[in-house]
Amino acid sequence: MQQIPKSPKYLQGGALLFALLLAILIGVTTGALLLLLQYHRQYATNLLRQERLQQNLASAVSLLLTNETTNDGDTTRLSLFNGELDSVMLIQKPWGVFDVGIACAFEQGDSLQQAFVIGRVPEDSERYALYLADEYRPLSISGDTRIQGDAYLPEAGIRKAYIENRAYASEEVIFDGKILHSTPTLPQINTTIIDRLLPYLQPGDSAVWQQDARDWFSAYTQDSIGVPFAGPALLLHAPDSVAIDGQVIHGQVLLISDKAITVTASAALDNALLFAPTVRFEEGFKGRVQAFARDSLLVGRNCELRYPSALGLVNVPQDSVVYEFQPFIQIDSASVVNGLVFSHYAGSEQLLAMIGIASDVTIHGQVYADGLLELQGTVSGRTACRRFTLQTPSSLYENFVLDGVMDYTRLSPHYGGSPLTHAGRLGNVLTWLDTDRNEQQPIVNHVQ
Amino acid sequence: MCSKRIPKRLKASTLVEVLVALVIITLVMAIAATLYATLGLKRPDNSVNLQMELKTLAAEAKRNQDYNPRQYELDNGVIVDQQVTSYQGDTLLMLLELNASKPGTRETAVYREIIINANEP
Repeated sequence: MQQIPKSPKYLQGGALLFALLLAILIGVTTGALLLLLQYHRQYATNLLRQERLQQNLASAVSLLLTNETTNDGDTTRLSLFNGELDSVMLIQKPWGVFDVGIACAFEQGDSLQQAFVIGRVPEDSERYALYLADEYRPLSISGDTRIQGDAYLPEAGIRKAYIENRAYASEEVIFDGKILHSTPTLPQINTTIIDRLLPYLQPGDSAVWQQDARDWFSAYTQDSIGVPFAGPALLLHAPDSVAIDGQVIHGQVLLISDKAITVTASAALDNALLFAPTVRFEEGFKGRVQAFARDSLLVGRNCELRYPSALGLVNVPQDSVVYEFQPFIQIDSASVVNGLVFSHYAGSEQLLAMIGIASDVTIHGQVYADGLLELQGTVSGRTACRRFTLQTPSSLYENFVLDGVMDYTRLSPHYGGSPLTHAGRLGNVLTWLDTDRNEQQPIVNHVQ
Repeated sequence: MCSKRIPKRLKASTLVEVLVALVIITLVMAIAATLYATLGLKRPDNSVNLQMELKTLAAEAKRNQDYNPRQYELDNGVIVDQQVTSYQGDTLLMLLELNASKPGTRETAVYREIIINANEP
């Protein structure tokens, strides 16, 4: 039987097919590499854009820090260097005795935003420990009183006195400073700042803010009220007395009462504003707040008001002025106030507004008393008053200071004050706002 | 006995096929190389590095308040030109501008920031 041979095996050697396969392989590999490169480029472009935004944001902050103060919200949109990639928006609005700045840089749908409280850097003429208006009587100091830094004093000068069985403890009357002559009036304050506070202390329903206000008692049920500074403010109004007890109020919130506001130690306030005829902080309260009163403002023992806080007694001009009692601010012992304490009160000569600073109280910042000042604690910063007063169980002394400390050298060189008492245009950032941990983290918005 | 031999044939490509294949591969590789080279030359990480260098230098200038105009060369051969001018005639504001370039390349970076002239009385 004849064997049928097997059919021969053909070797496949199609060069064209092989070349096509190789071309596809090269194409895919190259495509993947290009995709990777493109992704990398896009990432780098975003990174560069973020860097540019950061630079523009820093520039916007600088512009806001050199702006004049304003009583109306001011929004400006501009190109920093007249280019295409340098647009910023600057918003400046009043917040109590300070201004709030909001800087926003944006480019192609991405934006960075920062909100902060603007302070004013003291000018050289504003760097003093004491300014006592010249009422043609000398300043008398006793006990452990210490004035450190320049002092503007009446022409009658300063003298050591022996009162309440206490003599002046030191040799020098002024430490690390010189004596300068004061005038009969205190350094001018910026009354436009007072004008922005007045409407909230005006009694009656005619106030312009009434239409924007919400009833406090409707918000009272909430444990926490927080409003970012980037948007509109929340006005809460109460026709009766208000007690803030165990609540958290932070951000752009104004609380206005027609009668009184009491803040307990369990309340947490951060940057809020309080307006009422009488404001009272109970013992142990800690927070950052600006409180303005018409009649009285009391800070209990062991309170701590963080920087930048403000306590102000503001005179409300009325048609028929009848002063029935002395308006006052009283800060009790062991309390610390970081910021500004001021009284601006025309009053009558008999009922000058009074600021009382008890022993062991420390004020880091400034005290401006357009009236009487009873100082037994420490002012690490600037003190200005019309007249000192000292009430003891046996006597009432005028222009006497017993154990009061006025020390400008203890003030931080980075201190920034309120435009109320600082005339300079140069500003600095007092605190960053709208950040959870109070860090300088800009808010990033990505718009797709 | 008669035996019939079946010849073994090797199927191969023709010269034309080989040439066409070579042309295709060469073309694809050339396109890929060109694209990669074009994109690769403008390496974005170089720009980012330059920008970061400028950011560091700007921070240093601000910290030391060194606002004199000057030009200097970094270790990596990058030349930096620092200029500080008044911003829009405002005595309180200055424009800090740093320009970086690497000779022989097209890499450039610019840092511009408006800063406060704290020394202004």
